[in-house]
Amino acid sequence: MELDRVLVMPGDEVRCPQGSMPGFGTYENSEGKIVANQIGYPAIYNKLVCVNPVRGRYIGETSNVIIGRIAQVANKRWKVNVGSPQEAVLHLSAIDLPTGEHRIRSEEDQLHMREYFNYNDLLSAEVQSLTQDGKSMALQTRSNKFGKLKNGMLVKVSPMLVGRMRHHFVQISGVDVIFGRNGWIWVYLAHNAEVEVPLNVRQEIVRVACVIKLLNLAKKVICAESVKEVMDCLKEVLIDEILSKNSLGIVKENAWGIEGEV
Amino acid sequence: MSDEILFYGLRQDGRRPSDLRHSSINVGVIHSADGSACFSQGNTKVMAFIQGPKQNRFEKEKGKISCFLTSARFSTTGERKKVIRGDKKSSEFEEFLKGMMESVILFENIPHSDIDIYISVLQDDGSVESAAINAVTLALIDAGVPMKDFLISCSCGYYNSTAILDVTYTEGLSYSVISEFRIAVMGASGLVAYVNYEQFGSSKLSLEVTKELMALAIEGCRQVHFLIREFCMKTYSY
Repeated sequence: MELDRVLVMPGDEVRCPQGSMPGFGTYENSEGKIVANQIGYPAIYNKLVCVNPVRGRYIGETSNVIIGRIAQVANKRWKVNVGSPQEAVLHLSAIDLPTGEHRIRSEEDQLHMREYFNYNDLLSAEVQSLTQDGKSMALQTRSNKFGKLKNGMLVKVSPMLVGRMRHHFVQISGVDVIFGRNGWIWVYLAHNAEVEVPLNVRQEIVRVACVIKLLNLAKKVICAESVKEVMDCLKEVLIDEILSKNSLGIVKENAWGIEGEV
Repeated sequence: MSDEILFYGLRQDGRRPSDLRHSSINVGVIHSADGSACFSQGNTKVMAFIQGPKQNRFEKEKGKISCFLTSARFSTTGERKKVIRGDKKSSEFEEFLKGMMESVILFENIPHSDIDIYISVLQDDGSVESAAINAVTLALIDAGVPMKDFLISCSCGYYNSTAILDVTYTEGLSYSVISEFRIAVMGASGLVAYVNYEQFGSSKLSLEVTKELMALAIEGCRQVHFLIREFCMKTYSY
């Protein structure tokens, strides 16, 4: 539940009922008052007072769908850059083998790790678990919807604008979109075979990516519905004019703000 | 250059002794950094960038802060600046800033994470250190780093038994002035985090003068804090 919608800054006292406890984004000062430690909007869950940040890196939560880039191939695991303070870990046992068989990973598999995921490969995954301090996370791609990404374009937005939604894999005007909770969004053409993406689809990919960038600039919620709505508003605009001040104004007027629950 | 600073109670740029220069604030100036800010006060202009919180290299529980101060070669009035990084004055300030920020940043909320602070001085017209502290505070807020409080800084000087707020470069050059009395204050709680001053000659700072300068500088910090708060309210609310 949100408390009164006032932006709090580091050092500001969070107004909350008696007997509340300091949670994420707050601390208790020497006078026993609950004080914010980052810029954001305060919220209260049972007795826990939190500040939902408006800036900062992605903080992981279990079962989030995210997009990451391989930073390191290590012993039986990959280190994945997901835009959070710490690199995430993807264990060799947490991926689907290309052959699809279920067995204990052997040394043979370790030798082939670079064939599954190499440096700088993009992948979609799910957060399986967090370490005890809640900062570093383990990922898994044990489903055919997760895995290596191709035929598309990556857009990075503020992670605070991408909320939890029913479907993170959606189709918008003929192209597919994965909304990573870490603010990385993949716009692509889902196709199993190696094909060249046709020109009209590429243009559509760029259009969707530009709309997402506009929503990020306008600080509006980024989800399938808001992207579709803005796509409708900017139907007539040419692709090379879509990232303009004019269309940013249209987005600011038409899309809903962060208050709209997703 | 005249040694006079006050003419009929006004300073060279027309300010009264207890007036701040006009300051302008901007955040998010560099997109590749996690947080960035540009703080200018009169002709002094400082940029700060934050990289982090990011994974530290040696897997220690508590992260560390690194601080890098560079000034542009064209930053000073007159001659080209010969040394742009690593001279004694800037190294000393880097150490000071590191200590100050360590007391403000809540490391227990970001375990195993380092923070890099890059400051570049674009124009130097006095009170650079104060402007740098303000810019770093803004950049840290922009990066979403958990902090106890704002750290706000302001400088003042002392000339012919008058305390002047926010000294410029030329005012700092004049003799018989406590050229720069710098102070950093926690914004909300009002605690003083840092006091430092430079002086000419062997004149000692008396207790009364110190009190007067402190009071004036704290008042200046209060004004800067108000400006920064207003700016953050406007920029970050949605």
